[in-house]
Amino acid sequence: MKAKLLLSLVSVIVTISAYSQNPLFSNSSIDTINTISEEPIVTEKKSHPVKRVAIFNGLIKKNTDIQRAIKERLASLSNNYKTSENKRTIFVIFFLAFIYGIFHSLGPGHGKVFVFSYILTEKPKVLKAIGTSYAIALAHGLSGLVVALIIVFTLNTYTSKAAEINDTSAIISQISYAIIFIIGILLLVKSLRNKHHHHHDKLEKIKFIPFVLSVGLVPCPGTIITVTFLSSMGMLGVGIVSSFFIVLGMGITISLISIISLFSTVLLQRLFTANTKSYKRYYKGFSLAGAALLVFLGAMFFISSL
Amino acid sequence: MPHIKRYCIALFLLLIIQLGIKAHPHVFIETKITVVYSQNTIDSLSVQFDFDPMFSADLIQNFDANSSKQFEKDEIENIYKDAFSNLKEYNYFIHVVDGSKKLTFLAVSDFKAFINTEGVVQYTFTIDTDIKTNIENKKVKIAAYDHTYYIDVRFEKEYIHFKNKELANFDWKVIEDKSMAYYYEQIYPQCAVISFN
Repeated sequence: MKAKLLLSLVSVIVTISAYSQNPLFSNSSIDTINTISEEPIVTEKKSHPVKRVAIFNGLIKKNTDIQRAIKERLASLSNNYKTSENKRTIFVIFFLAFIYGIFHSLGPGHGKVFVFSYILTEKPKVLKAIGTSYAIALAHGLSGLVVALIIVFTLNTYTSKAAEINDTSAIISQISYAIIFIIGILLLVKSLRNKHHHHHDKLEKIKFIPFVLSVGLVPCPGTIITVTFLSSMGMLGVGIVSSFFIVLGMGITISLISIISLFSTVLLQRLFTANTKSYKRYYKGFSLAGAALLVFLGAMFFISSL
Repeated sequence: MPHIKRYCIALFLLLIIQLGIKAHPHVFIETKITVVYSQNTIDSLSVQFDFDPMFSADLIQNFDANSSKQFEKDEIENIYKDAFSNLKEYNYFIHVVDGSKKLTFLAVSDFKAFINTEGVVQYTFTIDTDIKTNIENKKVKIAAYDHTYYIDVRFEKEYIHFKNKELANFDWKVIEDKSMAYYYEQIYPQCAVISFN
């Protein structure tokens, strides 16, 4: 079981990404339009000795194409509804929001890696795994909806508040990393205790709610932009309901990840238990290394976000 | 062997899961770049950004203060200050490699913002490059991307355009450039490669 945790944490190293912020906005901006041309700085381009393979390049772009098309269609439908007020349009908007949730949550910041780690550690039943996935999707989507409503009811737009949202999101990210660090510490303690106390450990389960909140805390920008846009079209109610359809879609993707995680857990368990010598040899080392890795990653991302 | 096979299957599944980490963008830009050429020199790049309709609507609501459906001079200044100037930190999303040299842009000029007839917000600006092209087998690469992938930046359908191209002798093509891979080196940007004869 601890070997699975290590493998999941290896994937965390490879794939975890900090929450990104919109490059267009910053609180420290230049006052006036530049009218003087400036020569560019020329530097030697670094070459990379290791051959790189972006095996997901095509899939990433395909996913982006789909999201782009959905957003354009959503905008077009909203414009149509303003003139025609055809009720059927609203249901199409809800459906597109649902599809958008599925594809958008294939992006980072939607908790998949942590869900994967959690499942490999706790090995819940299928229904609980799906429930955890939807809890994370709900936290992520709801936090985005809350931010969107704050923007709407302060009579502002997303772009007017984008610099502040960037700053707030950075703070929320820092909190998330700190919580991940703490969860890593709990896992580390659990791994150490399990060396000597197999059956009476008080840290039997990672606390569910802190875990869900730490993963789903960062507001989803996709939800924010969608809700504020629909609100700007005079369709706030549709925007709010759409956010729940986005959550439904996100939940499907994250649940799929959960189920794949469970399946790979079963495969790995069979691999290691098939050879008891290997299992015993790596068990202790993996359990400590895996937990230490989570502590390290949480600390590293927290410090780098300061 | 059966164990190795299971292990490989398990690792493959783990790898599949990482698919979910990648596609990120929340805003979409289509860019039209015009290479402005003079004798033996690429003087500048004339760049246009077209934003997606959703983000455009938000920009309009925020910056078109008098709801005139066009940006006035003071509104353009606000846009420049609050929704553009920070792109300096991102090389204005324009990445140029002159032979083996990478160009870092310190500023742009002639910034303007428009709202077109379809309600799409467009930015236009000029980047000075001053790239000498009278070198045998000179290659210049031009790509457009946001390395954080918060914004997906794509060439428009004709990729790039040329001004005064009759003054130059060159060929060009568009490739997916592996040497410019970004976003955890998982995305190859479209790159226009201009080869001067």
